[in-house]
Amino acid sequence: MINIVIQKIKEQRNGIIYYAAGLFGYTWLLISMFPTMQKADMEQLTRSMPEEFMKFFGGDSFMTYSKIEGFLSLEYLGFFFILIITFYVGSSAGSAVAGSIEKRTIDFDLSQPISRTRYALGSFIPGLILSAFLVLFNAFTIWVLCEAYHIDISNKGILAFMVTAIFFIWAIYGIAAFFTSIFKSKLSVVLTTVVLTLGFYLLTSLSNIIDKLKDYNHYSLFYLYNPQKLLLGTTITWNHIAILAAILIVGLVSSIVIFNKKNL
Amino acid sequence: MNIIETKNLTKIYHGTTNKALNKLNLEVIEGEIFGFIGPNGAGKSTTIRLLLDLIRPTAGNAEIFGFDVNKKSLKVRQGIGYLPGEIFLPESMTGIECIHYYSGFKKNIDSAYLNSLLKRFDLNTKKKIREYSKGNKQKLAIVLALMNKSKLLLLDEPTSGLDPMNQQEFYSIILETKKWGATTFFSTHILEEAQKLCDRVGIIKEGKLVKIENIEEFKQKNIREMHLETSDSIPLSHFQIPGIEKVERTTTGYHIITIGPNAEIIKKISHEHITDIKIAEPSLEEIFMHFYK
Repeated sequence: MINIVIQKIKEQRNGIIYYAAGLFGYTWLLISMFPTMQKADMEQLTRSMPEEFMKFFGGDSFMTYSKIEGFLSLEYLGFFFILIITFYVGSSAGSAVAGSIEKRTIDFDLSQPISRTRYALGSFIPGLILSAFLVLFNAFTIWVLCEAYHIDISNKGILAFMVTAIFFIWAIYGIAAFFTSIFKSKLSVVLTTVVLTLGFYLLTSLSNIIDKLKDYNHYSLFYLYNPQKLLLGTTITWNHIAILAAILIVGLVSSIVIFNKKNL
Repeated sequence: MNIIETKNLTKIYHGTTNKALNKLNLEVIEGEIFGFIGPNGAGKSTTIRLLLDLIRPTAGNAEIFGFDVNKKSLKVRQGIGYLPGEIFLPESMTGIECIHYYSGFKKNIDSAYLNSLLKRFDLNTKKKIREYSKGNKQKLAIVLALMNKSKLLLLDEPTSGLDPMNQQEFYSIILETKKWGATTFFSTHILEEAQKLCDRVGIIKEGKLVKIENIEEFKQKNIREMHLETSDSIPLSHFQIPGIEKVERTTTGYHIITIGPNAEIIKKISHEHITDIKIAEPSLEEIFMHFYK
């Protein structure tokens, strides 16, 4: 199994470097902009916007935009960051089974003395490690750049964000892992995972502005991930982590069960 | 001892009603080279994929080394070297990276034997697989199938893509595998190949095993097609010679299918006004049409 893990990491190495560089660049852009934004009359700016508009993107007061935690959450960590990593996660899980079926390398791989369970796990583990690395790298980037620009940010908040974001991304990985055993093309896995994540985000956003939909927010993964609260509140909600971990485990187990029964 | 044993092995693919494989009962004995002959779509690759547990049977079962191929799949695959019909290897790897990657699944790789195979096939392992020609991919896949001296070799049309010289090298390598007691099960639609290598052949047609024959008996059949070029009209009664199975009038002469020794036939037709004779091995389809209905 270790040869699969090493090979998959090698295959994804370049992609991860590009993703990390992109995340670093965007984080740098936002953090370098923040001192200038702080000097501008943000209160006036946010007051001029419709209340629903701010709520849709997860912000509800001037406080959110005037602090680095709120600014980063609204502009980046709340959605854009998740979307970028979802593309990676969908692509990584997609290439694990569906991609190998599509490329037809799976026949030769599975003619080797390895169980389908170990083959699937060997293919999933690199994606889990590398997606966690992207979150860790980005959290570290935020901390370093805040230090560099003399912006106060809570270390405990970054830690709380980091832990929750990793499990959040892993939950999405679990969903993508489930799809990879069902579909026979990598693109289908990527698109379905991204559309589902967008759907979750839309549900949370709409439930923020439509009272009738408020109760449905619980069905969205984004209910379990609020970077602004995590960065400001500095505490990890362990119930949320447990639910996210359960989604990952259910996704992986169901994927392996389906894969074991699959005709290739 | 039977290395492969199938009982009523049947496969109907999802969404179809045709039986890709219909109640296959087969026994392959330890140490033999067994050829599985049939035209395209006969069920050869389906059989091999079922034996490897890549697909599951609709009915029946198969055993390799005495173990059920589905229930003890891992144990079974520990003793198998497989060559797929179409080669799809990780394109981003170099040849040597690919060998190292697949070595990671297997125990007891014989490095000396591996190097000798690479040398015999004159394979450049430093190149990326995506830069390999079809023939070189085939050679690399053969090396991967053989490198750990498996007890059972499952080879799906192993010489497709190989040039004649490498085909000969492959034939000698397969015959040498008998030294370490390997059993070989290989599918082909090339009759000559089966005759060169096999101890026995199984003839499969439209998913059904038509016959299993000892290769010596098969060779003795000596099935040939002859084309007699003539502008004359020869009465059909002149072709009523023992050994002639079929006669057809063509635009340039006569097309004949014969079985057995041809000496008597040639002697008798030499009395006719014939300008040229072409003798060849008939196509597999032709053989099946006349002898394995």
